[in-house]
Order: sequence, then C-alpha cells, then structure tokens
Amino acid sequence: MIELRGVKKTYYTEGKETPVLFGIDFKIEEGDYTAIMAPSGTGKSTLLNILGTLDKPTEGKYLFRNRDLTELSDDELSRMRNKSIGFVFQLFNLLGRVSVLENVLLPLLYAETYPKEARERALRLLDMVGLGDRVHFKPNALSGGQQQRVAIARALINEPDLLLADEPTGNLDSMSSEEILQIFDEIHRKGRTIVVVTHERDVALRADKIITMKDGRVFSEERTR
Amino acid sequence: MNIRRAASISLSVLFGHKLRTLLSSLAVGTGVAAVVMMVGAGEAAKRDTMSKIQSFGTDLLTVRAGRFKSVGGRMRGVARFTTLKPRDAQHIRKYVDGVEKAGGTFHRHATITYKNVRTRTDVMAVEPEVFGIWRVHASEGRLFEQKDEFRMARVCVLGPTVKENLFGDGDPLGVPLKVGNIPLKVIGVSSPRGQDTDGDDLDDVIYVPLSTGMKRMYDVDFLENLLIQVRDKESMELAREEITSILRKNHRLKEGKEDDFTIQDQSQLMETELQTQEAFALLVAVVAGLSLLTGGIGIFAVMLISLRERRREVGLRRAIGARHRDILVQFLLEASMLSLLGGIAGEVIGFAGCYIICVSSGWAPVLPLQTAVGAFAVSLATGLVFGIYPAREASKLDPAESLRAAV
Ligand SMILES: Nc1ncnc2c1ncn2[C@@H]1O[C@H](COP(=O)(O)OP(=O)(O)O)[C@@H](O)[C@H]1O
Ligand SMILES: [Mg+2]
Repeated sequence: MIELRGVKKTYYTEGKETPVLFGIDFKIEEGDYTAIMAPSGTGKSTLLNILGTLDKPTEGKYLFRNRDLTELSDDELSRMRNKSIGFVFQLFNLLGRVSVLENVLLPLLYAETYPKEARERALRLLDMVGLGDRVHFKPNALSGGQQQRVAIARALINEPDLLLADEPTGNLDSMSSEEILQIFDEIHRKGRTIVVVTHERDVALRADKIITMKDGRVFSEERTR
Repeated sequence: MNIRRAASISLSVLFGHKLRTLLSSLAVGTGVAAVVMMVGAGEAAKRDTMSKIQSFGTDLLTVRAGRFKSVGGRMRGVARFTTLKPRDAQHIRKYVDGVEKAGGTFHRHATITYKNVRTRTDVMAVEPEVFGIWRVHASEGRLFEQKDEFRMARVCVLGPTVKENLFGDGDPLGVPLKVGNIPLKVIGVSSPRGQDTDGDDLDDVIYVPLSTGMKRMYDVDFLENLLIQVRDKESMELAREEITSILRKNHRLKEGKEDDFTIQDQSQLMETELQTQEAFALLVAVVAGLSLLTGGIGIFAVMLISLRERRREVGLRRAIGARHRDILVQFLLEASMLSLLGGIAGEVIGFAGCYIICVSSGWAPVLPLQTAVGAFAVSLATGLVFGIYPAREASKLDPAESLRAAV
C-alpha cells in the first residue's frame, strides 16, 4: 500500500540546515498495524507528516498505492488527506469552541459530498469510542483520554484507508492509554491500515510490525507475532 | 466546501470569542451608524430645504425696500428706504412682461385683544395677490379681496397659530378683534405656511388689507417688500431688468446712483444654502467613512490576533483536507461575519440616531434606504478588504509547521 524509497528530509530554517531523515526505505502492506519507534527528537513526527502528505520529502519517493505522491498538487494532496488519511495527534487538536459531534463531523466540511447519514455515522463512531453520551459536550469538558477518543472518531469519519497516529498516548495516563490502544486494536481488527509512531516500546508492541529508526535511518524491522 | 456548514462553524467560533467579536463588530458598527446617521440627517435637511424652495416657488422675486448684503449666507439690511410704494406694484403689474402677480407688504408687531385674551403677533399688511403668490388659501371663511383693499375694509384674516392661540377650537368668523386700538372683524383663517429657514413660525401672523394697514392703522405710505411672481423661471432675468428700470425711474434715481432697493431671488438664496448643506453633508460623510475605516482596522487586528492563536487549528484543518482556498474562505467568512454583525447593529443605531436628529430638528425623517444598503455593502466590503490579508496569511501557513505551533 505504502512504499518509501530513499526518503530524505532536511529542514532549512534561517539559513541553517537540519538534516533529519537520511534515507528511509520501507513498505507497509494493506491492513498492517505498524509501529515506528525512535527516541524523541529524531524525526518521527517528520516521517509521519511525510506519510500524511502534510510535508514533502527533500529527496526520495513516496508511493501510495503505486502512485507517486511527490508529484501531486497541493489541492490533490488535500483531497487525498481528506478521503484516504485519518490523523490522530499527540495533542488531540480539537476545536475548543464547537461540540464533540461538530468536531467529528469537521472533515466532512472539506469532503466533495456531504453524506446524508453523516450524523448517524458520527454518532456510531462516538459510540464505538465510548462517548455516545458526550456528543454535545465541548472538548474542554472532557478528559485527555476522552478528547483523544473524539480525535479518533474524527479521523475515521471519512472511512480513510490509512490511520496515522503521532504519539497518540504521549499525553495520557496509563489507563487512558490502554483505552486508546484497545480502540486501535479494534480498528485494526476491522481491517484498517494503521501506522503509529512512538518512543514507547509498550505502545509499539501492540502493532504487528515494529520499524525501529536510528540516526534517521531504518535500523530494524521486526514482526511481533 | 459547504459554505453553509462553514458559516455555521465560523459562527460558533465567533460566538466562542464573545468579547473579541463584540469589540471588533462594535468598531465597524460605530462607523456604519455614523454613516447612516449623518448621511440620513443630511438628506433630511436637504429635502427640507428643497421643499421650502418649492413652497417659496422658483418663480418668485422679492423686492426689498433697502440695500441688503449677504452676510454669512444670510441677507442683512444695510440701509432702509421709504421709497417703495404701492404705485411701484401697480406699475410692475401693468408694464412688466412675464409678471403674473405682484403685491406689496409690510408688517408691524401688535397686541391683539379678544375679550380678555391678549396676544402679541405680527400684523402683515398685504395686497390680495400676495395670498396667491404664497399659495395661501382660506381654511375657514374667506381671504380678503380687491374690494376690501379699495374700501380699506376693517377686516382681518388669522394665521392658524393666532387662531389657535385666541380661539382654540372655537369659531373665529365674524368676531370683532382689536389690533392695537383698531377694531377689525375676522373674516377667515388662512391655510398654514409652515416655518421659514430660520425655523420661525410663518403662521403666527394676522393679515390685514394693505390699504387698511397703511392708512387706517399705521399711517405709512411705503412698503417693506414687493412680492412678484413671474410666469416661469425663464422670464425671471428679463423681468428683473425691467423691474429695476421701472423702480429706478419711479424712485427718480439718477444714472450712477445706487439702487435703493434689492431684488432677491428666493430660490437662488435657497440654492446657495442647499449647496452649503451639501458640502457640509459630504464632509460629514467623509468623517463617518473614516470611522468605518477604523472599524476595518479593528477587524484587521482581530483577525491577525486570531490567526496567531489559531495556527494549530489551521494545521489541523489542512490535515483533515482543507485546501488553501478553504482556509482563505473560512477566514474571509469570519471577517465578513464580524463586519456584517457590526453592520446590522450599526444600521439599527444609525437609523435610530437619524430619526432622533430629524425629529429634534423638525425635519421630516427620511430612512435613507440607499445609504442603508450602501453602508451595509461597505461594511461587508470592509470586512472582506481588511480580512483578506489575514486570510491569505492563514491559507499560506505550512500545515506541518502550524501543527508544531505551541498551543
Ligand atoms: N521546521 C523545522 N525546522 C528545523 N528543524 C526542525 C523543524 N521541525 C523539526 N525540526 C527538528 O527535526 C528534528 C526531528 O523533529 P521531529 O520530527 O518532531 O522529532 P520527533 O517527533 O521524533 O520528536 C528535531 O531535532 C527538530 O528540532
Ligand atoms: Mg514528535
């Protein structure tokens, strides 16, 4: 489904070069649950942003279902993110002023068509993440774990092919983390492709495959089961 | 992107930031209110002057017995003469081509006594034709006629204000009054003339025949004013010249000697006033427009602040599929909603203010619909114009970068 070939990323800010990725190659198969593991500050978010088309590699190819995404226009990439990719961030990134339900529906604002059953779908997703009774709450009335579950529902509203999570439990206590990881398990069981980046081995171990990065390169790939 | 849903989300954002929304809308609202109020009031004042021009008639010349100079847009007498006589009126009626009506007037202040009620008012001695020139008719009884003039009849016609003061709802017809010491019989009540440009009541007056006033009451043989109605505006210039030459001859003014009278063209005077008003109205509108600009700057500032705080939101929206354009539209939508909100509030306040100004100035209130629509459009445009820079900035944010922004 996804293939990275020699992906390099160097940041250029204020005349300073910061090379972060030095040539990444890996494949992710349809339906895989993959963890990318590396210590903090070594380019996990950078890599995930590239996978999510929020950022472009300085060098190398990114194939998504055999299509080279480095050649798509900005609008096409937006379209692609909207339809095919769901994001879960460490900091949830919910809109504070609108309800939980509105937050979940937000990606549909940018969809080509607004499905009639959108609301039902959103409610079903919120049920799935255990927030069926909180749909009209404002995000700040929820705990961190609950906010992250809203974010997961939002990521799934457009039924994306790929779910990307950037340290989804990084800001949560262990109990909330466990709840989130169980939801990921369930999403995976239903067949969705998931990529999680984390620096925690416990989190990585929930995946089928762990890609470990070191010095901006892939250090090892291992199957957990 | 679905604009309706985008708008509803924008609204929730705006209502989430109540104080900020209030302040920036207020800035625009003040501008819109100022524009609507000042332009509306200016328009009302203009219409008021226009209607006075109409009522004065654009075909009216006034010969005044003396030299008058325009001081600050107002005619002031610098020398008065007793040379303007009823005979001048006769000659003008008879010899000047294009003159429809002409009549002499003079006035005095007098105390009027009816039974035990006394009131002070103006006694206006007029020839019957003057009523026609002023477009006054009888609302009760009759006006005096040529035969009353001949006979120096002891009759009078009450202006509506005097009638009201002395008789209230009662019937004044046939009642004997004393004007000064002279007993006169009320034969009618005139239709109202309204106010002059200074706001003085033209109906606080009692009319007597010119001859009665001159000979029976005040023993004078000269006029104050001679009112002349010409056939049409085009006859005006020629009539004016002929009147001048007749008056100079009648008054035996030698070549090179200055006129001892002044011919005023009422509508011309009013038009000058109208121009002054228009210039003032324009100035006021410009000032009001400037306050709208200030409102725009308010929106600009609010949108920029909002943008700084909402970089992560922009990043998130980009991550879930918003294109550059969608971000642009969203921020523009918010800016125009802010200004629209202010616009609506401003319209309401502006109209109320305009109404109050009009009523307290005695002008017929106008609801300047064009201005309203204009101000509304301008407020919307203000939002768009001042919103476009912040919106562009927002849409240009790099998605990955903005997601890294501090909360
Ligand atoms: N826009 C940028 N300009 C320069 N350096 C950056 C930029 N973004 C990230 N970095 C640097 O790149 C490195 C990797 O960052 P990141 O991908 O966020 O790491 P991780 O997610 O693993 O903590 C860090 O050293 C960070 O400081
Ligand atoms: Mg990171």
